Amino acid sequence: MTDIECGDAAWNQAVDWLMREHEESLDDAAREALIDWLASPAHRKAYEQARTLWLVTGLVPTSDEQSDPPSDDD
Amino acid sequence: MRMIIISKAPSCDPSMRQEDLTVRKDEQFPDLADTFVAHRSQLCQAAARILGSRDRAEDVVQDAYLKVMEAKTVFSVKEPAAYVFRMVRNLAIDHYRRSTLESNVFAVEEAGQGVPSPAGTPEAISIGRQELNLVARALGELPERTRRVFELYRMGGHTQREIAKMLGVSPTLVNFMIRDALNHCRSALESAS
Repeated sequence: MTDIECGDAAWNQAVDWLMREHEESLDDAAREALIDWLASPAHRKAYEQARTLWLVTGLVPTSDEQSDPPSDDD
Repeated sequence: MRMIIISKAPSCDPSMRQEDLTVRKDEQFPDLADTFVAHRSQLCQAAARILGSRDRAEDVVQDAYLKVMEAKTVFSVKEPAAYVFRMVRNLAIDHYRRSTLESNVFAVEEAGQGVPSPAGTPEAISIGRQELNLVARALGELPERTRRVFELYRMGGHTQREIAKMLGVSPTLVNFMIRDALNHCRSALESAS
């Protein structure tokens, strides 16, 4: 089984938006487009989920920074 | 050796001077929370530069402190100063982006429940140690190159195009690997809940 179910379009689009916001600051037209996209509750839910995950990944030290990486064996 | 125990979250009050604080030396690496407190006023300045507001910067730094307290139970970090600055920057950027959408999107929902949220004060996302552990483990499970790409993107601040050039692969592959990393972390969180 793959990590993610096929047809999870809202999640994939939320990740698209996240990456776009990460790489550039959205201009007015792009922000309007994002706001339109977020009008759907399913989109909003996916966006919030992606945003939270993005923050959590930002809290994990890089492999170079970690002096004591979490172990799989305990 | 002098040790100062700080039990409450730091404020941006500059009257508490950095020299008053001593980083504990009885650990292999400085404690994250101590490092946070020692750099408190610079962290506030860094957040204020992104947010354009001292008050909102203070909210973000407070939020970051709570997250550092969780993170320090999970991770031991070699360069805690770089880590706490990155954390504050990440949170400030998140708050800023959210505030640009808040009045248009998220406030509508909240107003519908009769609890309007003031624009510009996005609510903090609660992140627990279980989530940190699961995501750290999920990232650790990725193929080495995928993890490297994700770190260059998420923490290194490089664009997909730059990473593709650095590694001599196509931008499409870089995009795929970043998605793969995020999807794997998402699955790890979902399978635990």
